[in-house]
Amino acid sequence: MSGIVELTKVTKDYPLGKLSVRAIDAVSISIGKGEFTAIAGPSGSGKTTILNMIGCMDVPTTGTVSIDGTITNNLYDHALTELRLNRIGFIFQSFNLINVLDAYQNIEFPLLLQGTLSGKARKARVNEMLEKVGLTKQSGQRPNELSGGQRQRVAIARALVTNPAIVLADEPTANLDSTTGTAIVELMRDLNKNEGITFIFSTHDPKVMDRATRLVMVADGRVVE
Amino acid sequence: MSALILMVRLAVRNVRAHLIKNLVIGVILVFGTFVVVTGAAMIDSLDVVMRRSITTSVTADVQVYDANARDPLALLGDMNFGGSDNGEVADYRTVRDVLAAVPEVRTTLPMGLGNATVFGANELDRTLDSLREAEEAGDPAKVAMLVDRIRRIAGDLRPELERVDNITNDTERVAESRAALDRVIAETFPAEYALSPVPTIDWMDNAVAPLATDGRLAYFRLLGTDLPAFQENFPRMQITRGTGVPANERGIILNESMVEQWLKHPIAREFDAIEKLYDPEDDGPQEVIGESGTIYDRVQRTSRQYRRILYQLDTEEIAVLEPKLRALLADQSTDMPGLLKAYLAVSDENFATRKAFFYTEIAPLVRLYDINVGDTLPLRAFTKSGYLKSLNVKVYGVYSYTGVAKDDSAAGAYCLVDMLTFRDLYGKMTDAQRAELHDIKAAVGAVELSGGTIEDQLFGGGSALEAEVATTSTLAALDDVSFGRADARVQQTFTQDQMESGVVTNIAIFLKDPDASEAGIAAILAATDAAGLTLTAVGWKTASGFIGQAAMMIQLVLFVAVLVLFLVAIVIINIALVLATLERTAEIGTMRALGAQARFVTLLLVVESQLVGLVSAVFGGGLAIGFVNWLNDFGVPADNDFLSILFGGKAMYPEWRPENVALGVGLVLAVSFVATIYPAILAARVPPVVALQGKE
Ligand SMILES: Nc1ncnc2c1ncn2[C@@H]1O[C@H](COP(=O)(O)OP(=O)(O)OP(=O)(O)O)[C@@H](O)[C@H]1O
Ligand SMILES: [Mg+2]
Repeated sequence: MSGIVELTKVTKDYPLGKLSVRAIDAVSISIGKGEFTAIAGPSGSGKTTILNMIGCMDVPTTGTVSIDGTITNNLYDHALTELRLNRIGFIFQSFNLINVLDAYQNIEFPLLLQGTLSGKARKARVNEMLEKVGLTKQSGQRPNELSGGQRQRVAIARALVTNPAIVLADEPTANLDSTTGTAIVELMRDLNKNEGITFIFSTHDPKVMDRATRLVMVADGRVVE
Repeated sequence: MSALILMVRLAVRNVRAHLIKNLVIGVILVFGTFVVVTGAAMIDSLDVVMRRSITTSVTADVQVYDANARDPLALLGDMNFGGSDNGEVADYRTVRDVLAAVPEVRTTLPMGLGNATVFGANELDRTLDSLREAEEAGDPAKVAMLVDRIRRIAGDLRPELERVDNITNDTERVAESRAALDRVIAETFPAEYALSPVPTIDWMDNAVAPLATDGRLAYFRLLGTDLPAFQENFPRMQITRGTGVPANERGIILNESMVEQWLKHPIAREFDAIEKLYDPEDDGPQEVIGESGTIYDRVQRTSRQYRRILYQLDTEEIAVLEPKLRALLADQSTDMPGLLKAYLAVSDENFATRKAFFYTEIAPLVRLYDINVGDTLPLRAFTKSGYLKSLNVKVYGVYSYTGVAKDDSAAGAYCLVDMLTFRDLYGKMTDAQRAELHDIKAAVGAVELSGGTIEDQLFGGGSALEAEVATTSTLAALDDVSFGRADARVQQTFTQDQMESGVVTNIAIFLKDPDASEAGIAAILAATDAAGLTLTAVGWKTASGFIGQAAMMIQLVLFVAVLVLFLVAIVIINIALVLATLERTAEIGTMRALGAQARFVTLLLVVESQLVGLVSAVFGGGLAIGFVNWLNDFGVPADNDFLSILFGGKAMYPEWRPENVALGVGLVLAVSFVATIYPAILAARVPPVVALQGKE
């Protein structure tokens, strides 16, 4: 029980009319700090559901989820939101940038929500992140003026800007061509190696799985090792 | 703090990003602000001008009257057409003394409301009066001319009599009348007359004058008051002809609108009325009279009434007028009646010239007004006890309200009389007088006669008049109760004390602070209640009656319209925002996933809609201010009587106040807030997981 993420016999049922669908069934996973973990499995196997639990966007039906020592089961929306803001970074399959904000402002978004950094420190931090993802020149551009790869870089910078304990990525390369996808995974791997950031991502792509330091296979809502 | 920066940044950008949706909402809100600000400014301005117009013309700030009155006080008219009963206040002085101790009260003024009629004399009556004067003055030329005029009038009455003969079965009376007319028409009459002038005039008074039936009945609304104090306290009242009634004297001041409507020469009024139907802005040929239709028929009717001019003309005057008429009409053959008839049959082409001709050539020769300053008016009224009472009152002047055109409105058109004349016509007797009357009746054995109804007066003819004459002779001994011509004995002057003690129908009160009328009314009622007086007090708007209620109605209508407009706006904006929120679930889910609290999302939507509301309110408010300023420059014209009373003049010049703008902006912000509540709740319920499901 020393992992930064601890899932213990986690089951999630989704109501579907009068019935309910079991998305994951008694999943137990322990992920340590600094790992670069891929969750792989066929479509509908429960990858996204597992990431939802880890990302504090939902709570399990049974079992426990512990994130950086905090058990999420009995938390209300407000506390879960705080956890997401301060401990977790998200990278989405569809990038999910805010269209009305430019690259710089998208990266600044979580910092403004946190409100802990001074204006000056915030600026320095955002610029640092822009540099890390190689988008210093594009800082003033809106998402619709950026390529898919550039958008995902902005998303990565946004996920990392708050120094989260874990960064979650749900199929981060699915909407990218393979070269760009590879580049994104390389960027994530570099950040993991150089800065010790814990990454957990789901994927279908064997090439992406290959880059992982740890692979969790899921099928039909269960972990198959 | 930084979250606020983020929220404002997002709100501003989102508003710009959803431009079309926000433009639609914005247009609705701009319109809403415009309506509220303009409406509030108009209502406030109307209130100001109405107050200025009504309180300074007759109502004063507060009116006090009998708490047990059957009808509410309606000084500018109600739906009862003068038949309302506002009760009475037994003694003005008692109330005045009580009110004098109320610190809020500045001045009080006694008022007595009543109605009276005047039977205008017919032309035959007038000519006979002139004849009598000419005899007394010993002017044979004038006598000859007047006798000649009487014979012409009699000649015209003769065929009318034949028509009456065909429809009545009172053959004896017709035969008498025919004999009388024939005597006057006969060639020998001037010689007969010369033998015994005065008895012949007396005979004509009785036998011939009643046959001419065109004497007109004028209807007066009377306001008895302390006349000098009234003039002083109602500065909008201006004497336009003659003078005011001297202090402590009996007399009447006629209202100009009333004079124009009731006492002007009927042909002149006809010209005035048709003139009004033409559009003064339009220079081209206009069709008002045409070749048929109601106006055309009216003109033909007027043309048949040429005698109304002819009877007022002397032979000399005819000699002056006839060639001018011939020249105007280019007619050499027809006689004078024919000429007048043709002249009065006006058409659209010649109306302007004919009207001008009337005022320059004919009006100076005829009596343009039935009653003129200096005349003595025989006022008749039904007293409270049902007697028909008649009293001669001297006409001192004619007044109008400044700003109101003289023929514009008859509402509030009171003829002002002194308080004593009002009381005589009101007919309230003191107990002592009542006892005295009883004694006299007993002494002469008089049967109590009631004056009958107005209908009797108008259509029953003789009987009511006879009853009155009978009453006159039996009661002539009474100073206070005088009838018909018997009023020569009425005391013409009185003391302030007499004027102040006695019955009034209502009391006008000016407050020291006209803006604090609520407090003033409360203080007045407290004082009168404490004094044991059963009085009620109302503000000027209520006291004005129909007009005040109409103004409150306008306010209500606008209020309801704004309410409906805003309900519709709330529904439309609500729907638009719900749809917009549904479209934005991915974006909202992303913000929630990134760590934005539900509250942040809710607030963001509220800030966005308030931003749209504020921008719209600024636009709408600005437009409204511009519009009201524009109206202020040009004026809102009062193109009917009703509006000219409301506006107290020909136009209203509305002004906006900061409160009006604040109201508009406040209401619009409230509307956009209310419309955002439901979509904001929906947005707060968007779960963060949608961020992972969403496609771009
Ligand atoms: N909100 C939901 N309501 C009902 N059923 C759901 C819901 N979310 C997921 N499921 C079901 O749970 C199961 C697991 O779904 P999940 O999205 O976790 O799979 P996945 O491995 O991410 O698939 P994919 O590779 O297609 O993204 C599926 O059968 C899915 O239909
Ligand atoms: Mg998935």
